[in-house]
Amino acid sequence: MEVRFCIDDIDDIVESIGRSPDCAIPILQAIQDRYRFLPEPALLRVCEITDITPAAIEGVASFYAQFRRTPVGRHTISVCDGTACHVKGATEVYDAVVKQLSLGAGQDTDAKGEFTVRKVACLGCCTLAPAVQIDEVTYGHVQSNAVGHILHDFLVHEGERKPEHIPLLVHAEAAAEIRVGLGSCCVAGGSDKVRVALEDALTEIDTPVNVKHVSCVGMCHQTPLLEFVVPGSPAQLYAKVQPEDVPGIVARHFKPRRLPVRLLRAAVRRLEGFYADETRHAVERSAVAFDDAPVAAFIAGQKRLATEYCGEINPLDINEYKSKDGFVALDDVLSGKPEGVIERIARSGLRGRGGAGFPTARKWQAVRDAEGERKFIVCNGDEGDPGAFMDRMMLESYPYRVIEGMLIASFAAGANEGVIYIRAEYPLAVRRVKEAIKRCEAAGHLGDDIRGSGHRLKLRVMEAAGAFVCGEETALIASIEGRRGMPSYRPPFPAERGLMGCPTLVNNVETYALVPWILRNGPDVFAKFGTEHSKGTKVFSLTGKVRRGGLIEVPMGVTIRRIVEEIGGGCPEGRTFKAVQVGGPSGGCIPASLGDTPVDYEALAQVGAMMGSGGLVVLDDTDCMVEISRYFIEFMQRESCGKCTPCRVGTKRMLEILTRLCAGEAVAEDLDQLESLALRVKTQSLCGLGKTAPNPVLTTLRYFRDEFEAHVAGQCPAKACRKLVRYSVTDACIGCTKCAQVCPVDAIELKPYEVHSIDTELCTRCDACRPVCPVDAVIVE
Amino acid sequence: MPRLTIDGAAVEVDAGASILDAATKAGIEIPTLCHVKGLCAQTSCMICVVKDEATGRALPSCSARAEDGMRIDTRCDEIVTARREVLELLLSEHVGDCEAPCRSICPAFLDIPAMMARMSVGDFEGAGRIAQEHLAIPGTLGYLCSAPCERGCHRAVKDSPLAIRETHRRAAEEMLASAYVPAAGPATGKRVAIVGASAAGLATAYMLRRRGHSCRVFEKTNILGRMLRENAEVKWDEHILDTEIERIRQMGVEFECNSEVGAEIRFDHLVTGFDAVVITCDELDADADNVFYAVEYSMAVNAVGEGKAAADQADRFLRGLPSERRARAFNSRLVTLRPEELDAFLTRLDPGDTARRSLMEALLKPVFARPGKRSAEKDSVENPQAEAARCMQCQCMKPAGCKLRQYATEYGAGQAVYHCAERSAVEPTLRFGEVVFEPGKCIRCGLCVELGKRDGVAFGLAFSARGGAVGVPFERDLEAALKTNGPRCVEICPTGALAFRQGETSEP
Repeated sequence: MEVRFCIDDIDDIVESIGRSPDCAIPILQAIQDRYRFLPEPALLRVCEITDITPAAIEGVASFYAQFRRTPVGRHTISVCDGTACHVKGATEVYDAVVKQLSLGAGQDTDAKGEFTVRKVACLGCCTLAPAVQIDEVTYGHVQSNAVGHILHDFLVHEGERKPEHIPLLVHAEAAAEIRVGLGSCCVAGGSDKVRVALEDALTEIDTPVNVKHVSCVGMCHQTPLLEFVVPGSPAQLYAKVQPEDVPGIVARHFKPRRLPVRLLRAAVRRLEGFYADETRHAVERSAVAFDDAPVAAFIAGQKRLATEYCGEINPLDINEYKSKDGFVALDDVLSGKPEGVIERIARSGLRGRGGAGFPTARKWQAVRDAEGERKFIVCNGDEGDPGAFMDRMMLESYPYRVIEGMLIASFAAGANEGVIYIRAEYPLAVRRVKEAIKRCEAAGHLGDDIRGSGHRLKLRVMEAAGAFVCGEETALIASIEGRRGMPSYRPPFPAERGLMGCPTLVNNVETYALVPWILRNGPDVFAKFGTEHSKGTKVFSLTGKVRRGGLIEVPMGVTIRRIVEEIGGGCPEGRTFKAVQVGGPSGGCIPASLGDTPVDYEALAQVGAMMGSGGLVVLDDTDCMVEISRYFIEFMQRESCGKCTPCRVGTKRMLEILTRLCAGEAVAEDLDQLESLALRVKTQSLCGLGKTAPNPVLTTLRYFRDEFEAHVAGQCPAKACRKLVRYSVTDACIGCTKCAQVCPVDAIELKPYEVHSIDTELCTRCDACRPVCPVDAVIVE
Repeated sequence: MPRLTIDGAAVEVDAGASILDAATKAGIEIPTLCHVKGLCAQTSCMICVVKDEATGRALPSCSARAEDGMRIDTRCDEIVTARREVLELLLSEHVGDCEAPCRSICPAFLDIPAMMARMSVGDFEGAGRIAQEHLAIPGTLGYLCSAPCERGCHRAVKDSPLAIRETHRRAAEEMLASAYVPAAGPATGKRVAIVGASAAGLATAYMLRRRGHSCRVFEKTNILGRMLRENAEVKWDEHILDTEIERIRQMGVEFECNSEVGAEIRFDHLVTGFDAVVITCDELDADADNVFYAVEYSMAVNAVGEGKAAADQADRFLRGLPSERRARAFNSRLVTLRPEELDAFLTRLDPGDTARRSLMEALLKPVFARPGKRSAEKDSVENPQAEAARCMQCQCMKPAGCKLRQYATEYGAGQAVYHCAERSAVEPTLRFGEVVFEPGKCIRCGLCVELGKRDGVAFGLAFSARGGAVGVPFERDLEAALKTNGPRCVEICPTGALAFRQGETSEP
């Protein structure tokens, strides 16, 4: 592929970003934006005109997953391999894409240079699993046999896409509003198309209604969602709305005010349509009342503090944020003393929501007490756990709340410069937070002498370049400084020596988001929620084999079972709840028998899991625990930065054992070795990533050892390990040929009206045939 | 100033000092691979862990600060196990042979690559002296050795294994043709009796004499080297053995024929009359500290190996060193060189050595019969020098200075503890001047990367990719990375990854 390279472009990029070593990542990101990969001459040019050495740039460019050194196709297909997607067949989807593009071994770009395919750790659209993103368009619930259709759809609609437009249509005289969820999940579920249909429908009837883009509603399993708030009648929610349903729904609530003649004909035609059975059916199908049992159950168990006004407020409307008590806590704090703030946070019992649960007030106090003129504040939004999307949703939905939390924390800790570190895989979150910072600066909430208090804070967004380990605070700091994301030994903790060697406060998104609520409502009110040592609420992304997945916020102390069964509605029909994977790759699998474990830092640690950042993936009886362990170790092995021996090599050896187990090639001694290796990695790794990497293995070994032993004997009880199962067709086959048609490897001969059979040699166990059989004649043994 | 105790010893250090600093101050040694004084802590290898007795946690002593009141244990079983397991993880990824496989297979541990190196430059006598040094009877073994070494030769992947025995015989013959007599070591005043004068007995006597002990060999028959002569399956010139025995005699070893211990000579007299006794026949058994045994195997080279080992033990005993059998140094092994790795492996050889190159290229065809077939009667190696030049010098260039090997030996770490899916492939060796870089031996400790950064080397060695493989940025030559600090990088590299091409020193 020919690439036109222009030295002036590079010079311009460097000119606009800077020449110091900490500019390395933004410069590389800009070059990649320009060329879609990193051409070597461009990198060498960067070295010539900046303080970045070739050695440094080589290290950084090869460390982060975002960067590519070879040319790519015009479009990038990212197949999500997050936990939720993985358990719902992401591997099959990836294989189907590879097949569709006719890629040979080691290739990732098709011959025409149209598409480049890659697996990504997690797109954060877990409720739409399995998900595929092509450039910035996300497709949810992708079936492996629909891949061809998706690629076609993408190319056909390529020219029509337009980015989210800000600001929005606002009618001052409008009394009613229609809320459209435009979080990433909603957009991926099709809400942008619904938004366009809605605006068209409203233009046609010409009624002053505010279409409001709102934050994530949390009911991700129901996307796209529309909510109609008309004075004088109860709010009405519509779920899983299709663009064609929209005119009917609109007509249900609004009568046309005036009809210009030229539109009359069309309107009449539509009005006729409103009364057609088909449309009415669609309207009723999607209407959901808040007191409908499933919705009520989903909402009832929750308590929204960090996600307050969920689905109600426009993320970027600063005035609306203010009207809902936004910045009240800030004003209150700025008029008092920093010590008072820390004391109140201490009284609330708030602990870090990023994983380990360190008391927030102690961290703030440590930064405040640390010596140094220059202090930093960092918001850790590098949510890399596959199967988690809380940070994304909060940054997309409540950017002002996170900023307010940071403002308060920076005042308490005495920091005047800050960075919000957000995954580049979350483009919407990045855009919204950047815009929110701009608007805060314009409104005097950021900058010098904030609200006349004398406190100053300058915030900027740093886009993370794709490395799970950067969620670890010392690695995150290395990354902000433009280095490879390799952690360093603590102490010294960042509070003492962090960014640029200065005291640095690092907290997670959710922690900051809780701060305004705590100060507004009082620490004691907050402390009323939760358990003795875990106060307040926790946001979880509930995904996997559960009926109602989504973004939930629950009081600490709620049991796992309540979350899965009441809020989530249990496993889908016919399946039994087997385990919950809590805390992502650092967490563990809690078996259904321990479902009464409360959500509490200590209680989760006691059963071998950890709170983590809050991913909650429900597993059912078709999920193989050995395979799940293998999946997590594979993830950790890929993400290990390679610095320390136990993590770099230990995870590799663990993965080999687990791979052998899944292939039925392991021996009994392998289990003992796996366990001792896991303990070695846990106790002797340098950073949190390595220390927690073995948790998924250790917990599954502890609770599901029989499954491991079955694999040693060559059996997979869940029938999930491809190498240990066999597909066949029973005599119940009616000869409909559907299985033969979907088989991607022609392992089933097409024989109309005859009983089919599967060639085991050719069969790749892709599971495409089983679900299409109308008589369940395809069986797995 | 924090005060702490390490292994029970109290020590006081400056604030901010590491536990390692404190241990050094207390005179306690802690193993480290990725630590060099003056460079910032890498916290990579994790072999320097020590136990914090208060928490029970294993702390990397190079990075963990010494804190007031700490109680540190550096050598409890837990820590020893932790270190061993970390070493085993590193070794599971280590691509390379510490010793050339031919040498590690040889029961007498003959330094075959060194011998081949001498021969390849035409110095047959020098090569013969190396053989003499290790073998006592190199000429005899040139005929009688079963040559297990040839089965390990990596050269088999390319064409055929090196004809080690025959090349060796030519060297030994050249040496025997000269008037060379190995010198006895400085006299220790100790007297050793050796029972049996065949391969094991001769080897024992030779080795002990080299170390300055007086040796007297008792043989029950009137034939020295009787077993060797009787067991020979090939046609050979027995005069060679006579010459070799004569030289051993010239070194000062005394032989008494027709002296059967237990008959003519009383065994207990030997035990009391000599400082040490080495028995190479199975009829005698004694429960005394100064009696050592060597098995007279029918395979001559094994018997020589036994003799060497018994001589080592007896020598340690006579010098008052600890009596336990010294463990052989850890030996990393490639096991099998895969055909597709050969080109990369050959980059270890010096491209500047054109004479050697051309000899190698002239020898693309096998010139010697396959191993296993006894072919001693036939002189099939036409050009021993060229044959020796086929040797790929598989051994590590830093066999003694490698800290990984030292600690692996010390902690008894094994390489094949984990059933790895597949050994990592051999990667091409890079070179610049006297410095070579073998990526497969790198443990990613980051010291050279750190040094390059400190010295401001623009294209200094850098980590690349996740997992931190070390290489030269933008695939430049090694020169770009090492032109200013190459020798220093070799010095701080804890393994043979960065080494001098001539071995352990930079002097050619």
